[in-house]
Amino acid sequence: MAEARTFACTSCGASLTLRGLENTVSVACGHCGAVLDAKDPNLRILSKYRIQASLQPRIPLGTRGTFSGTPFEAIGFLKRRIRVDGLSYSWSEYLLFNPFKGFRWLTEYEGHWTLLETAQPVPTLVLPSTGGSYAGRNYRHFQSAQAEVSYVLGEFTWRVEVGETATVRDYVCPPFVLSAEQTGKEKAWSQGEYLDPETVWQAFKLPGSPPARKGVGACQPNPAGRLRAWWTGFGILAAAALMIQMLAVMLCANRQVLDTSWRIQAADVEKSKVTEPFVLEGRTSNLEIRTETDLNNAWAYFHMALIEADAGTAREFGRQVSYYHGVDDGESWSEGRASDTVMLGAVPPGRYILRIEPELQASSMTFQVHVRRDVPRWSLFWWTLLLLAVPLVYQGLWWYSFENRRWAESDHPWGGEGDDDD
Amino acid sequence: MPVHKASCPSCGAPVDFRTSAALLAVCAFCRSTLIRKDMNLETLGRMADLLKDASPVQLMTQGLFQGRGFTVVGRVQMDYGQGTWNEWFLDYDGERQGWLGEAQGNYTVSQEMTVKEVLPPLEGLSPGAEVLLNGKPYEIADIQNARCVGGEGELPSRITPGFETTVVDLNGPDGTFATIDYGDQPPSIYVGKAVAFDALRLKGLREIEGW
Repeated sequence: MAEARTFACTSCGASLTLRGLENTVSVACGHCGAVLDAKDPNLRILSKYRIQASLQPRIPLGTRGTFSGTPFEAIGFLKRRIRVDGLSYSWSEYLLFNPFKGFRWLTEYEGHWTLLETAQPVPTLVLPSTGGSYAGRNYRHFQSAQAEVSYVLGEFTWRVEVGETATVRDYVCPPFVLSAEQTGKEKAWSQGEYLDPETVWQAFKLPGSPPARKGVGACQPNPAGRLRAWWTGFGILAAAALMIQMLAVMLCANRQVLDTSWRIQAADVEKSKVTEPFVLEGRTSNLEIRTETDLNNAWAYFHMALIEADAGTAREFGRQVSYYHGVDDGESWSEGRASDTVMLGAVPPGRYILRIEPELQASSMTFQVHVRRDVPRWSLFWWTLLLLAVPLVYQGLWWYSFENRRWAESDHPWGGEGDDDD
Repeated sequence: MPVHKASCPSCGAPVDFRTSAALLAVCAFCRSTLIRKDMNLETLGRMADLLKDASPVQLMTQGLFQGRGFTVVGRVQMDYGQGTWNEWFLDYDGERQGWLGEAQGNYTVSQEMTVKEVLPPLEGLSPGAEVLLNGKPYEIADIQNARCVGGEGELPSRITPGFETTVVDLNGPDGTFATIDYGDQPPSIYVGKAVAFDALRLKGLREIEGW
């Protein structure tokens, strides 16, 4: 359907198609490996390399793919490789063309696809750089490498050559990437965005399914989302919980209803103490009973009963207080404490007395009992906070593990020795 | 749009001047270079043929820049060795003129500018160096030699096909760029912005078969 110019390869006679109109400067024949000068009327041979028949682009040249409503035709394909620590890595690059909007690059590495275009305006990062701000995004240096063209096919807007090298520096701000390519004095900036493999397959209407992704792509968005968003969510919920808690605290009467004290001897026969009656008003609520003693390297046990004075119903419970301390081998230690607090829940209003029978492992003891009605409780709030933090921690770990795998492939692995830029 | 109608002294074909800023026009039929002398047209010779390129822009293409409509009235084609680019001469409703740079789907809109600074000599310039233009810092992106291929339509000044010049491209603040053409004496300066194809809302483009 396109007005494609066809001609015979100067080297092998195979039929070649020109799709890039007058923009095409050189064309690589897929049959014989010759690179021809498209600007020369006789299509002279610029270079020739050994053909690798096994290397077929996944997106056949001449196929059109639509990105953001604009169709682009794949007209050139090349593979580039870099060497890191003695290992060779290679990726594919497709040159895409639209006569109105110009050229785009579609790159593929280990199943990860990125669509790039010329960066306008030109970034002002001074190379080599550890990163910086561009178009409102904060980019961080990912990798610098000497990339060598290892395979070419189709059309290019420059005199393409197998073996030509360029220094490529990538800066990422997922899903975006900023890439600087330097050949001699010339440097070209491109900016790109990560594409889901399915998006690429749908754009070009390719059969089958895209190759599976391996590892984490340099500018692949973190599936755990942005950490800040989760923190914000946590903050909002925590603030809401705090507000509810504050409201609950304000609504609590928090009134002292009894404050009394006794002194007892171990030898006392009648140890049982009964308080004056006290009135609990308002709604059914909690009751806090705090017992303070002067125990010193001793313990006491309190059998307690909260008795409804009119009906005579009792709620019995026991509390133990023990406090020991000393100095062993020059180190001071202590265990337990001389006071105790107990919270009784759901105590209905009424007239009450408190009966206390202390058991004592000391010659004497002074103890005070403070009773407070409708005391604000914080434990539920703290539990809520803890519960809210669970997804945050989970998400944080997920996010971290993904980023860790991303940066492991870069010049700056996390928690490891990284190569500096260049 | 005011149109000054004349006829080509060479072939008699009608020649329209749409902008009063145009000094020169190329006859669309015989490609004579015609220069305005008062009310008359003088033939300067035949304009060199343009190289066929893939540009979708053509004379009379209309577009929009910063809310102002323009019409493409002329073109200068340049060759930088690896290909060509076009500087399309724009007329904004006769009120002002400008340029639309276009190469391989990249578009820039610029305006000629005079600066208070004395420009540094070309010999001392290299990529990365800073040049002040009206007090604003510009960084040299590249320096390239280019050859004027030819022109068409209306143009504000004489052009010399085959003339070799050196063009310095600079990046300025807030995504602006500047171009200094050292082929002119004194060098001429153009300041502008890169613009996305869609933002230009170009109408009356050349039809490209298959697209």
